[in-house]
Amino acid sequence: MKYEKPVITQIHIGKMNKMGQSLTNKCRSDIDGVKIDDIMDEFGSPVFIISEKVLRKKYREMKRAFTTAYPNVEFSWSYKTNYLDAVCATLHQEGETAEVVSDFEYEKARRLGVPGNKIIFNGPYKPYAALKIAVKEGARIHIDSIDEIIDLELIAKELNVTINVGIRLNMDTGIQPKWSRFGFCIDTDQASDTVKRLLETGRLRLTGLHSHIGTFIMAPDAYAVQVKKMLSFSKLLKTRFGINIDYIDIGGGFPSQSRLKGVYLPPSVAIPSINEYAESIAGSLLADLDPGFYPKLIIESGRAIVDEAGFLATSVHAIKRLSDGLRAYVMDAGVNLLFTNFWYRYNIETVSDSQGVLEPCVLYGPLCMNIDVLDELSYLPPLKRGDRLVISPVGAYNMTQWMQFINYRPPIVMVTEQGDVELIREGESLQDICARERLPKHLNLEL
Amino acid sequence: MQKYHTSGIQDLLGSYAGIMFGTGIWIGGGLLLLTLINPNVGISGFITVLSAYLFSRLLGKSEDFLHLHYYIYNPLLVGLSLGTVFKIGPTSLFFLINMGILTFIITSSMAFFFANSLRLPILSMPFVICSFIAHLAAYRYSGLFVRHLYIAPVFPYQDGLPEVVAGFFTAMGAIYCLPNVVTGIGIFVILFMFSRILAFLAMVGYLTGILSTTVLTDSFSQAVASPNSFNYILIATAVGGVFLIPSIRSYIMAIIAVAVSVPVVEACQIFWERFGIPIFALPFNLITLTTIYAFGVSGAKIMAGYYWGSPEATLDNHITSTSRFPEHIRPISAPFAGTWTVWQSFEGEWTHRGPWKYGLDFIVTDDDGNSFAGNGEFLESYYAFRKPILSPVTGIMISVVDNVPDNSPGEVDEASNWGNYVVIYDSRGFYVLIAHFVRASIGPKVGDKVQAGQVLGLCGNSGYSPQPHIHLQAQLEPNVGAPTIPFSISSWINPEKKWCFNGILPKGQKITGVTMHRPLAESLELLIGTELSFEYTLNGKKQDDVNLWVAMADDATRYLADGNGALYFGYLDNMFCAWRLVAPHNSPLQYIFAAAPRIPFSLESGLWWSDLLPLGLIESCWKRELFRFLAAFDHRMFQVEATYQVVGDNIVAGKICFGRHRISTRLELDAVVGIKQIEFISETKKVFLRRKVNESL
Repeated sequence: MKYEKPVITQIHIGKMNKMGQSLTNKCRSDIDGVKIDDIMDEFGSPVFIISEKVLRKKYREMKRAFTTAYPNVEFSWSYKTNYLDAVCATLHQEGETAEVVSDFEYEKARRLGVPGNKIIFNGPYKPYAALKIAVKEGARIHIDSIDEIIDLELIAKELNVTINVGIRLNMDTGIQPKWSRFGFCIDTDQASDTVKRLLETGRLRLTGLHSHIGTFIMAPDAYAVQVKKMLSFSKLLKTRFGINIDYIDIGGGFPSQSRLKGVYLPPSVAIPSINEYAESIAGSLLADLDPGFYPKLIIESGRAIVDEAGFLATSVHAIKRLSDGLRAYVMDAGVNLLFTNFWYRYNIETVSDSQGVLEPCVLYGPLCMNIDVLDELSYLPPLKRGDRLVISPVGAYNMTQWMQFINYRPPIVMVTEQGDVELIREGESLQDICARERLPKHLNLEL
Repeated sequence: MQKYHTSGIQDLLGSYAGIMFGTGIWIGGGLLLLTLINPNVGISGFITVLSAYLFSRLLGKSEDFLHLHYYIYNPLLVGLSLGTVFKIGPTSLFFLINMGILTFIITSSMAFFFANSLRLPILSMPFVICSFIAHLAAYRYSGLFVRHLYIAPVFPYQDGLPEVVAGFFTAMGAIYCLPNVVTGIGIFVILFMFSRILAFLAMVGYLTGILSTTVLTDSFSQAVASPNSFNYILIATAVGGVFLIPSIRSYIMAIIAVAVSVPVVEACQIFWERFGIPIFALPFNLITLTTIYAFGVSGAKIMAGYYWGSPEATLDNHITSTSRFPEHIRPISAPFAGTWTVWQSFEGEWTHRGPWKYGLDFIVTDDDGNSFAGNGEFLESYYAFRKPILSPVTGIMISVVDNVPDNSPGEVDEASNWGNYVVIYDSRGFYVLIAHFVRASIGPKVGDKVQAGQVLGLCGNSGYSPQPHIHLQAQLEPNVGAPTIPFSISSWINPEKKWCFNGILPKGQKITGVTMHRPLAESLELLIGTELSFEYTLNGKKQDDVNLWVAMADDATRYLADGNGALYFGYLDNMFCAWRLVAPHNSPLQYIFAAAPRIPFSLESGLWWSDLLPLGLIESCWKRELFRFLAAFDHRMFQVEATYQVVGDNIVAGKICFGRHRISTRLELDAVVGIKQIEFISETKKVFLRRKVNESL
């Protein structure tokens, strides 16, 4: 054991405290039996690691919870959460359809081999050309605005077809913030008036209802309210327009085992189990429906499935002592790679079982930006240059919202169920970034 | 709209075919022409059958009734038999009409008595009785011109044939009262064309009869020369091919029946000789009726419940229906959604013993086979806990207990063994008990009507239950804990995504409950009177449109008709089922059958199932008939296996394999109109049926 300079730290008694973490060092040396050190030696640092096993396990857990609670369930993979081919393909293999919110995501799903009729096209911005392709390929389109109805009517006329559509609804389910910017409100007459308009030309056929009440929702009851409201709206459609709804899409928004900033309790206590969500949603549906006539329940869960399957392995680049005496580390990964860092506090674990007294420290990222802070206050054993940390869960949103800003984006590997390590996205190079650039002739630097 | 109609001609000709258990106007017409080889016999027969028919119309009997050929084939036989003796003249004409009507009256009353009191067909018993009456009465009628006092026509050909062959054909002819080789050959040819099984049985019956007689009388020539050996043919065909399902066993029964009939034939002959009249088909009737009766009372499973018009059809139907729809023992639905695992099955190792051996316990397990997450310390960590339990039957709530607390994992409550439970009465005549609900979770109250699939409550851990699970059993009495009886699960999906139909689940079996997709179910609900038109393309050439309509048969089965055939269908356990096809070989209905022998009302992508199709779908006529003939010897041979898989949104692709035949089918469904398109592609045929849909749809 080498010498460490002594530090004075406040003593926290017990495990639970307002910092929301226990003060024993956590170490994670492997993912599904594969040494993180080996992965980093081969692929460098930083590197994103996805566990196929965890991904499948999380999906199956959720599938089991919902399919045993309600007889007719479809899972649709929320592409924006993580649209890496390998991740999507794994979940499509498991039986998920694709939920996309842009022409890019739509094309990505099609490129992967997902047929049009297995794609749900959501979102407030669906360009006309993309919408037309989606109609041709039989995608399920969820209308977000009256202008979209007009677009779809034009397309229907142009292609001489009748289009099956769903509409997006919003409502007050008793949680904040109330999302009212997407779709049509069913607490007022807006939604039913929209349906009336939608049916006017006979070109569009309403087959489904969609709603997505928010994100990281920790109250299962909110879903029960949502489902109840959607069902009573579908009953209104039946009596007023004679429409039978084929499916009810409740969106996603289920939390993962991530710790939101400002929440004291650890996720294992604070976050209800997926079974509680399933019971709440299915109970609400089953209580209101006639047996044998159960519309399909579509769930667009993203975060709750993929978040815990993602890890980021990073290394200490430099060590500093701040003016107030706080120890600081400059890591090779920062907010450029971890967008969700703005609202989560991650598990930060050492890759090797480092010894020494835990010391308060701050973790900075590599950007030359003041905001690039990975963790304002962490308790870690003394680290030296090159020591490795693994950050989790980071499977959701980071690999889609990351930035090519200042630095290159690192490689992503998948630890397969068989224990192999597959490179699923190469690290970026200058060529990747410059290939799209065009330099006007007069700016050629002839030095 | 065209309709099945039964004209008088069909009925009259049908009576000719009916004598040999045949159907169809061509068979009947051929036989009518054959009887005219001896014009006196043929015309006599025709006169009596016509008089009986006209009398029945006078009586106001309905056409349906006359469709049962034995009402008029008995008068026909009487006429034929009289025609052999009396030459047609004014007196005999009157006599024939008289006897025709009498036979009809006797047939009507006897048939009713036989059917209702003995559950037996009447066969040709009235013919035997009336022929006795006619022949005895004729002794007194001097005005009748008796033909055998004059020279009869001679058929020279029979001399060249071996004794036994000539004897066989003569016996064949004797069935129609024309005991000569030429008529016999004709009848045999027609019989062979109609049914190979009947033709085969005719030969077997004849040989058995002759050989048995030879053994007893020690004279082969005498046996062959017997005018009554046609009885053996009739007995063998009736027992081996008509009343029993054609099989090795039915053939052996036919041989035995013929062998035991030999003394009866002899005895009858000795008796009736005293009166100078032939014995007609008396031995056939005595032996066949008593044999069927004996089979009936012994509850033999080889009896054909219904004669489908030919032994081949009966066999085909039997093979496909028994294997497609194996015996249902109180089928009920799986009482849950999603995938559950059988924890304890019938005659299970723990509690399903003795009177309670027919019970099923279900839990939910993960990939590792565990029923809980973590260490299983809390009820909440068990996957099955608080999952909705759905009613497996439609019925009435008989009793509910809802106040037993749930045990902690690992503990049991012996005092209230069943915990929270419901007993439901199923109108099929049994009770279903489901036990171990969560306390205060059961919704329906005693006396409520519940539908299959309706939520009853939540899976819990009350009563004798160490971990959250549900117990399911069927019983004949309403009290909880009554002795259990066998039941089966009507349909489920196995881990390989195969849709399974009706079976008993072994321990450890993972099953996924089945849900109905409403728009699909509604679109396939073909109401009586619905009309469906299809554009029909055969090998690239456009044919006349196929127009189908939905009608109802007398037994309330619905069928799709095209004017020439019928495709019977129905709805069973959340699926559309084509029951059977009765149609000529080129009927477009067969393509619908081949592409959609059944359609589950839940076309989840990747779902597949297998089915067995009747041999009728095979192309080559002679091969098909050869296979059908051989299939009688082993019912498992020559089954046409087909597998179907959901390959896209409402698209089902089928593969039919038989020998080297490969047929592929494709069925496209529409959520609104139901069947949208059917493809049927074999080595020689490319068929497309495209639904024509009104603009309004």
